[in-house]
Amino acid sequence: MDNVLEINNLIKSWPGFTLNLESLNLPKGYITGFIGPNGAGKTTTIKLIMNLIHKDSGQIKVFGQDNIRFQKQIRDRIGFVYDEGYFYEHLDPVLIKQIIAPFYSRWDEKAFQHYVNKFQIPLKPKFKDLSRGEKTKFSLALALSHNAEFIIMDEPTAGLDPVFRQELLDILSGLMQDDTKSILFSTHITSDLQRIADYICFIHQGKIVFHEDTDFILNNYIVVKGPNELLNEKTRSLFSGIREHSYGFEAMSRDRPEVRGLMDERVIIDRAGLEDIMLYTVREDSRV
Amino acid sequence: MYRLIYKDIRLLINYFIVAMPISIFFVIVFTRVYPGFGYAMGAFGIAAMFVIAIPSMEARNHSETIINSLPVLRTEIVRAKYLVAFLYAASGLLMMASAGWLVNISPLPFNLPYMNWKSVIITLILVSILISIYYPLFYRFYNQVVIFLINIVLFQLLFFFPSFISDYMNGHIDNSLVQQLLQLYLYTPWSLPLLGITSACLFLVVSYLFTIKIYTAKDF
Repeated sequence: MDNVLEINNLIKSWPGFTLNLESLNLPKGYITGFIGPNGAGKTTTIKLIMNLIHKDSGQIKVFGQDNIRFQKQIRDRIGFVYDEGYFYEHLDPVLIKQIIAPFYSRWDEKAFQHYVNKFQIPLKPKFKDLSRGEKTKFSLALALSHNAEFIIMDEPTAGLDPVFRQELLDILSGLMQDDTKSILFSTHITSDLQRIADYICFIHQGKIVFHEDTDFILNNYIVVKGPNELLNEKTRSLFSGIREHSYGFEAMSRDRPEVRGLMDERVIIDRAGLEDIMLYTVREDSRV
Repeated sequence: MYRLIYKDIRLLINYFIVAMPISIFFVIVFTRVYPGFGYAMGAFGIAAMFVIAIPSMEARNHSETIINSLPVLRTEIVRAKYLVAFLYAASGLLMMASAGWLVNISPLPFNLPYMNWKSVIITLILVSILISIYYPLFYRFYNQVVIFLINIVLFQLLFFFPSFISDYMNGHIDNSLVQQLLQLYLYTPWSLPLLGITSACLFLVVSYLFTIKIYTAKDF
């Protein structure tokens, strides 16, 4: 399987934080959800991919090419949507487009007009007067109008209402009809990804916790609730994020058959959503 | 790289419109108050406004993140910034020359001198010095307050620099260095401008290399 992105032994340190990604390969033609709590290292990873910040060590390859040595060619094939607009606030979208478009060798004006109409982006007001949703749609229209093969989105749904988030997810699903495109979608709103992501990469405290097929994650991760007396040294090892109350415990496991085998009928087993997985992974074992 | 230059010029369209009436005001005031340097001061003032406006605009909007995500190299971004400054200088000179001509053919009661080659050279030297100091400091500190202070001090210093030098030489005519410079200018009129241009060019190259180093090492 071709990879659109390959990261190996990537390290970037700041005082109080170190991003350390041993290995991350994103297959071509799929949507990969990049999840993690705030401050986990999602934006740092994206900025490293885009060479906006400098790595301490390691290697990043995009389209099989080194992301620094071939940055011009690579960026020509990447569409980016950041959490903030970062465009010139005093200009209208048409003028911004006129400034951005010439940078891309494969700019497609018809595609831009198509997306502007489809997303109903107003072109007259200044960029600063657009709503948050319209700004994101405009960024997306720019990202999609130069035949980008890899779309990187950093928290594009943050602060947006559910209606627009649904609309954006539909747009992305539609894009994936073209199997030459790949998407890296960073967010901490995990419900957005549960429906559209083919793979989920979960990052926490600068390290990858897992990077797996979404179906596998949703079928295997479980939330277990039961009486405290079922917890012992052996069963505890199956769980993470154990929370013990006076009336029982709740925890997460990724080993449904083992949990079922070791515990009796008193436990309740539910499928874990991405939000549960994030929550149980992030929190320490605790007794309340 | 021409796309980066085009970007800066597109961003400055409103400034160009504002600069046109300002140039008329500049040419009337400065050519009368500073007869030898009015055109250069006005052209420098306009060019400096453009030079300072764009990086400030980009810092305010955090647009460096977008620009550095486009298919361009950081060295090209810096090179474009240095080159476009000379387009601003040319624009400033053109606006001032046109303003002088317009005032002279208008019914206004002014008879202004026309622009000469000395104004062109002084403007180019002043703009070179401005960007040589401004860009490395701007990209090093990237702080609106620091930049504002640099702008005020640097602009004032350079804006009045030619008239200050002229006044100083006139006031210290007995000084041996002043006399040597005047002799040099009298017998080889091209030597002082050449010295100025050469020094400005050297300063510019050093500044460019320094800015490249700062900018390529920067995290956005």
